[in-house]
Parts: sequence; structure tokens; C-alpha cells
Amino acid sequence: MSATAAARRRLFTSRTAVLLAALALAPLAAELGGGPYIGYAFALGTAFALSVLGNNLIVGYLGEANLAGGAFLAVGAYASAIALAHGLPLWLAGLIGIAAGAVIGALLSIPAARVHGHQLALATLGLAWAAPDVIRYAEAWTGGSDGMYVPTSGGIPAGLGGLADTYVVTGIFVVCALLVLVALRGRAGRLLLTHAEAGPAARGFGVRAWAVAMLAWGACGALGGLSGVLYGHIVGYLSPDEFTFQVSLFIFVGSMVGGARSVPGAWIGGLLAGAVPQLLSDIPGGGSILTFGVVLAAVVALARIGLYPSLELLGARLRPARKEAADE
Amino acid sequence: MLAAQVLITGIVMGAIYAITGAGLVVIYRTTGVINFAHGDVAAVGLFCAYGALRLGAPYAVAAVVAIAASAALSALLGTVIGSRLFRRRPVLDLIVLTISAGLILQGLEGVVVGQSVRTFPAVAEGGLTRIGGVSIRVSDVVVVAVCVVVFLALYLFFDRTRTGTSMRALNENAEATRLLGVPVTRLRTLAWVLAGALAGVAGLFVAPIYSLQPTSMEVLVVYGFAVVVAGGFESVVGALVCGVLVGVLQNAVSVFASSKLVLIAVAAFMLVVLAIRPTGLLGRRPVVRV
Amino acid sequence: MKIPARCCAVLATIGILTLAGCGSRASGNTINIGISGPASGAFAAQRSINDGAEAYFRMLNARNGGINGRRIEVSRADDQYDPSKSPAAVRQLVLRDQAQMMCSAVGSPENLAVKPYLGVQKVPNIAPATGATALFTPTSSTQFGVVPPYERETANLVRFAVQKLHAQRIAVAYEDDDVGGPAVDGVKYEVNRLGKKLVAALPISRTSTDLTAEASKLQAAKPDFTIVWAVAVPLSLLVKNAHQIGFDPVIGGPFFAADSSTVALTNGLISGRSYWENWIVATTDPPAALARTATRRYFPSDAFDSNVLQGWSLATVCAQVVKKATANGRPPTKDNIRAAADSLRVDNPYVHGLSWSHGSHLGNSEERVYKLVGSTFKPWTKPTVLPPVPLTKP
Repeated sequence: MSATAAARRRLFTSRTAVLLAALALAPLAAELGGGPYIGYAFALGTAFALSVLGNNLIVGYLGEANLAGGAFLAVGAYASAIALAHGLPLWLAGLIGIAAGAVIGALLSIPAARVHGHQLALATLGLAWAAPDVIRYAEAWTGGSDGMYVPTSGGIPAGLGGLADTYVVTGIFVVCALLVLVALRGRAGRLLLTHAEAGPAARGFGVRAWAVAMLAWGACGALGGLSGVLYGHIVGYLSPDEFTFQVSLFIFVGSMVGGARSVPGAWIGGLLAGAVPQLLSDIPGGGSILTFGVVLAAVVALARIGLYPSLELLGARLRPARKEAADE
Repeated sequence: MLAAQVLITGIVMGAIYAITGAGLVVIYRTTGVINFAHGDVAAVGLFCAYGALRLGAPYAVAAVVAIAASAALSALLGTVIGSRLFRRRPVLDLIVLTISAGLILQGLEGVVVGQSVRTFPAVAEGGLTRIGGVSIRVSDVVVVAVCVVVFLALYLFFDRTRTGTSMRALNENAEATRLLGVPVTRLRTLAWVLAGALAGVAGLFVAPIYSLQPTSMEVLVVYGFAVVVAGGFESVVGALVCGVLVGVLQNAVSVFASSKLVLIAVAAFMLVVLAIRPTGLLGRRPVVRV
Repeated sequence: MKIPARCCAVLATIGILTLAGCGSRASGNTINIGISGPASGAFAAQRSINDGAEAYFRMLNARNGGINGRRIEVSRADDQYDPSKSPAAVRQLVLRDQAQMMCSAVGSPENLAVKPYLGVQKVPNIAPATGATALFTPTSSTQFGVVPPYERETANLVRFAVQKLHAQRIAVAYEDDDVGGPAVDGVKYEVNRLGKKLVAALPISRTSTDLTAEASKLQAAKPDFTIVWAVAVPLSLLVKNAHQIGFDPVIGGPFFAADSSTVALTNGLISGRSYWENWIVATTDPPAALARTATRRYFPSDAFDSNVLQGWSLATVCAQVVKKATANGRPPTKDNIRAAADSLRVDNPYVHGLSWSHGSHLGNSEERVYKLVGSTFKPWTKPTVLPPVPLTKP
């Protein structure tokens, strides 16, 4: 139980919330310091962070790997864009995107309660491969290979926003991050944590594994769907080529690298998955992929529990030393 | 007639996927790692072979170069992943490592050899037999023959040699095997070498079809994974059976339905198999702790 | 004392982002031209289109000191042929590099993805390397096409086959996507108009591993002329698989596969029996010599083929727009460039019969057919006006 308690304590420090609020300043800094194109990458990375946050529930609490993050992203993006195209208001279209993601996630939890480990990871990867072809096949709805524009709604133009867009996305991420923190503090969180830290024992106490799985996958799908809604609004144009299985790999990698149980880690992971590839595009030839691979390998090698928790740990280690120095 | 043609072509493609899958199984069985860099390892080997061909080497020499280079690179990858730095890491970390290794290899290829599409010769150009309207190429026969030989050799190795049987035990309990005096590290490296060689072989067969460029071997990973998931992660025989099934399915769907449906069908096949048998067609059922 | 570690993380990230964005370019007496396309990823071979365009501008800088006395600053961005990356790539060009216009941007979905953005920013997208009609229908004030609509290109091939090769039975194999769809429409239209027979229309996939089954379907249809509207890899695969079952049809191919990759991949198989619809001059034509020299000089590692020449030809159109826009000392503003492009006729050694008017920014209306002889594409017909096929609705 102490492991569970420790895990919970690490999660719910109020400082995390303060930090999230501080993050709200980041878009301004990015936009002012780097110009609007950095702002675009930043917004995209933050939208990806929601997918990573959802993935964290699977990696961090179910101990499974979700390699279908890109599929959830696509479902949310297309569902909301199609809803907008049918004249629904923005808020409703957004909700439809989230709901579509949640439904797919919940459906996925049914096989996920039976299949585990590698089998499950690669089965989800199957969804990620199939996603672009599903989009191509559902031509009547999605525009197929031609792609579709995310329609404008309520005077909010899609794909054109600057700083305001970035702020909206960051704001939504902060709100979702807080919601996730609050939810994890409540009954659902207790369920997840006991399941994660003491699975067999939890089952002994009547925690239903399928319920936990459905909760986590549903939430992951919902966050992925929301991430897709925002993605659609930032990019402004959807086409199957955008949702290759590499997107799913990057989202997975983002949650592993940021720290699978850390909310700020999810944000770092999202930036890594969504923004860094955009920013590296300046490096010619294969250099961008090479750099990304090297960064990734270095983070895995150096930060054994994820980037953000590792930085925290580093900070904690440095502190006593500094104190001693001050005492002397 | 068309159906027969689809079946034959499917079996040939399936043989290639089976060889790929066998490589993934060998690594998984000994180290527990899913290797996302499997295709990229093959690609590097093929670029070495391409270089050899350009220097005037005959095909046989180039083939040996491809296999040897893939095996060596795979061994290097295995050594890094198995090194002390990553010894006590959860397996998900190791998977991320293979993903980054794949990206690094793709990037290096891009920087060193560039991104242009290159042709790679087939094992036997031309030459054709027609049996009742179904065309069979010499290279098809070679692919299937090599596949049969590879799987026979794997069977003999894992079932009849001491090294092979100890390798099978590795993933189940590395510590116990170590205590029994089995050289765990050496066996794991051997597994990576073997898998790399298999990747090289599969690559030699795929390259003439897809042409050679840094990303063209991704297909090995996509279909290879489908094969091992459906076949069962521990089972070499499962890889063979599902390799052929996936190959035929892929061809049948693309000819009789639509090429847009191929990956959807492969993913659906995987999910259906898992729904019926969660450990794959020929995977073992996990021991349930009570 | 607990804050620093976190602040470090946040500040470091922001710092990295900020550093990456530094280095904006100030524009003085220059014209900033943005070029986007793949430079890495699976389709990086297509970067030679952009190389060709850049080679042309660098040649202009070296020879004439630019256009109308203004140096050309070329900025390039890599979108990896991925429409989710093109918005960032184009923002980078427009906002950071202050591109006044885009030139030779590669890819259909990639161009479509940034069409609204360029519209709002009023940045003209001159001569993108795509024939996607959705960019130009309805006519947009910022989109100016050079590549002819695919419908009209395939129709022209059909007309050529019927009139010059006396073909009665036409077949088409096409990539089942935004390129292949219009191509098939064009074939159907012209086959009907000329009263001939369309004996097969087969989708083929860019990712297929084996097209023997498709080849045998084609063989069973007994076509006199088979249009294969696909990029080099699937096109070559179909040709090879067909050859292996003893079927060597007369092929009609698209300009975007009429390049060195196809020649290498088919290994002489279709030499002498393939005809290529191309709005670009052949690499062996006299005007290509200048492009060849410039490419050798600026991009020595590129194979000089029709991709390079395509970029080069597109750039000649861009340069003519700039020349007109900056005549009489006018500054190269986005508005001036758009106004100049809105009514323009191009007839240079590389691009014939291109005309834009206020109501129409569609591509070239004239093309020739080339024949592959040995490993070179030889001009086979005079430039002819393309059949006026109604365009596929986007």
C-alpha cells in the first residue's frame, strides 16, 4: 500500500498545478521569442500532449502499450470536422469528436481485457496502420485521399489562428490536465492506482479488471479525440497521409519519454512528438530523422523514469548538496 | 485461374513475411524485445549489397554481403540494448530504444546514400513457367525454397541442438538459465545475429519489389508484426502459417476487393485471431497464477 | 528551492523552441521566394523538383544579378510530403523568411492544406508542382497553376493513341487516389467522345507488392493502348509483372513518372513502346542544356531528369511573374505579384501556351507526347492544345 500512497503523493502535489499554470505563459514566450511559426509548432505539440496524457493512463496505470494514439487522433479530428461540415456548432462538434474517441477507446478495451502485453500493443498498432486506409475508404465522409478542410464555425477560422489559437489549445490542455489530476484523486484514480500497483490483490478485493480497462481506454480515447479536434483546428486540413502509423509511434514514445505517470511529462512528451519533428524540418536530408532518433535514444538512456520525473529527481538530489554548501 | 494466381503470389509474399516474422520471434523469445528496427537493419544490409553490386560483385556475393551486414548490425543493436546501461529497464523502454534505433538508421541512410529510389535485382531475373495459365517465376520458386530451408533449419536448431534449446528457455527465466551455467549474453547476441540474417534474407526478396530507399523496408515491420501477433509470439511455426495466410489474404483482398482495404483486412485478421485465441494461433496459453 | 528543477525544464524547452526560431531574414532590395516540398522521408526523391527551381533562381542571380536588379533569396522548407507538416513549413517561409510568394510547392494534399492560409496571408502560390484541380476551381486569388489538369492530360493521351497509333481498345491502370480519379475521368470522357472502347480500368496501389493479378486482368482485356497513371514504382512493377506473364502492352504514362527512376526501374523493358504525356521539355531538348549545366553546378548529386526540369520550368514561370510585377521599379509586394500573375501569358523555351486571366488560373493548355527511346524521352508530337475535358468536381 505504501507504494500506492507514494505514487499518489508524487502525483497530486499542488506544485504540479502551479507548474501547469506557469505553462500558460509558455505560448506567449514561444510566440514572442520564436515567431508565429514556432507558435504553430507549439500549439500542435500541446494538442499532441493531450493524446500523450491519454496514453499515459494506459502506459502508466494499465502497464500496457497503446500504439493506436494516431487512430484516436484521426477519429476525433474527422468526427468533429464532419460534424462542422454538417453545420453543427463548434462546441457540439468538439463534443462529438471527444465522444467518438471515447467510444473507440471503450470498444478497444473489450479485447484489451483479454489480450495483454506485446499482443495488445501490436494489435493496437494494427488500428494505427488501418486508420489511413479507413479514411481513404470512407471517401463519402472524409473526402478520401483528396482530404477535407476543417470548416470554419462561429467566426473561428480553422487552421489560421496565431497566438490566440495557441492560447486556447494550451488553456484546454491545462484544464484537461487538472481534470485528470482531480479524477485520479477520486474513486476512479484509486481504482486505477490499486489496479496498477497491486493488480491481483485488487481483483481479490472485487475490482473488476474490465471496468478498469474500459475506464482507462475510454478516457484515453476521449483525450485522444479532443487532441484530434484541436489538431484539426490548428492544421485546418485533414488527409489520410497525416495519420500514418508513425504518428501513433511518436505519441507512444512521447508518453514513455516524458514520464508515463507525470502530467507535466505528458506536455513535454507532446512537444517532443508534435512540435520537435516540425522544428527539425530545417535540417536537410535524413538529418531531421537522425537527430530525432538520437535525442530519443539519449533521453531513454539518461532519464530512466522519463524526462520530467528525472529532472525532478535531479533537482531533489541537487538541493541537499546546495543546503550543505550554504551551511558551511 | 485468377484465384490460382492470387494464391501462388500470396504464398510467395507470405514466405517473405514468414521469414521476417521468424526473425522477430527469435529476438522476442530470447530477449522479450519487439524489434521495431528490424526492417531498417535489413535496409542497411541491402545498401551495403547495393554498393557491392555497383563495384561489380556478382549477385551471390552481394547477397552474402546483405545478410552478413544485417546480421552484424543487428548484433550491434542487440549488444547496445542488452548492455548494462539498459539491463534492468522495463521492456517498454527497450521498445522505445528500437524505435529510436530505426529512426537513427533511416536518418543515417538518408544522409549517407541519399533518398533516391534505387533498383535492386531479383534473385533470378526473368525465367518463367506457366502451369495452366498460372505464371510462376524462377525467383518465386527460389523464395519458397529458401523459406522452406530456413524454417527447417530453424526447427532443427531450436529443437535438436543444445544451443537452440537453451535459447528457447531464455525469455522464460533468464536468471534460472544463467544459474544453470548457460551463457545468457552470448546466446542473446546469437539470437540478434540470427534475426539480423533473417531480416537480410527477407530484405533481399522484398527489395526488387519495393525498390530500395531508406524507408522502403518499413513494410517488413508492418507485415512481420501482423504475422507474429497472429501466429503467437513464441512460435516459429506460427510465423510460417500466418505468414502464408497474411500473404494470401493481402493478395486476395487487393485483387478481388480494393487495394485500399489491404491493411484494414490485415488488421482485422489480427484482431479476429486474437479474439479467438488471445495468445495467437500457435502461441502458448499463459500460465495462470492462482 | 523546489522550483528551480521545474523552471529549468520549462525554461529549457522554451529556450530550445526560441533558439530554433531565431535567424529571421530582413528583406532589403531582394525578392524572397519560398519553396516547399519533401527533403526527407519516403518521398524525398521528389526534392529534385525543388532543386531544379532553386537552380534556376541561382542561375538568374549569377547571370543577371537577379530579376530587375533585385537579388532572389530562396528559402526552402521540408514538409516530408506530409500535409500535416506543410502548414508549419509554409508558415516558416511566410513568417520567418518573409516569402513574398511561393514557387514550385510540391504535392496535391500538401498544397491544398495551405491554400486557406496563403489566401488569408495573401501570399501568391505560383506554379505549384501539382495538377490538382481543386486548387484552382473555383479560381482563387492566390493560386496559379502550371501543371495541366490530369483529366485533360489523359484525354490527350487517348486522343494521341487513337489518332496516331490507331488504337481501338483502351485500358487504364491508375493509382486509386486524388491523382488517379481525375485521370480515369479524362480517359472515359475522351474514349466516349471518340467512340472507342474502354476495356479495363484497374486501380493499382502505390504500396502493392505484386501486380501480376492486375497484369493478367489487363492481358485478358486485350488493350491496344494501356495508360498507366502512376508514379515510377508501381508503374514499373506493373510493367515488370506483365512482362513476366508474357504481356508487353503499349504504355501511356504521366509526366511525373517520365524520369530517370522509371528508366532505371523498368530496365529497358518499355523502351520503344511507351508514350509519355509531358508539358516539360525533354532532357535531350536544346533548351534543357542550360538547366543541365546549372543543376550540375548547384546540385551536383542530382540526376538530371524531368523532375529537375519540372522545377526549373515552374521557376521560369515564377520569374516571369516577378519580372512583370517589379517592372518600372515597383516593389515586389505580395499584391503586385498577385496582380501581375492575374493576367499573364507564358511562352518560353520551357513552358508553352500557359495563360492566366482573372477568371482562370488553370495550368498549361498545350502539351506534347514523348516516346521513350533507349533511356531518353524523345519528343514525338508537336505541342497540341489539350482536349477541353470538363474538370472533375472537387
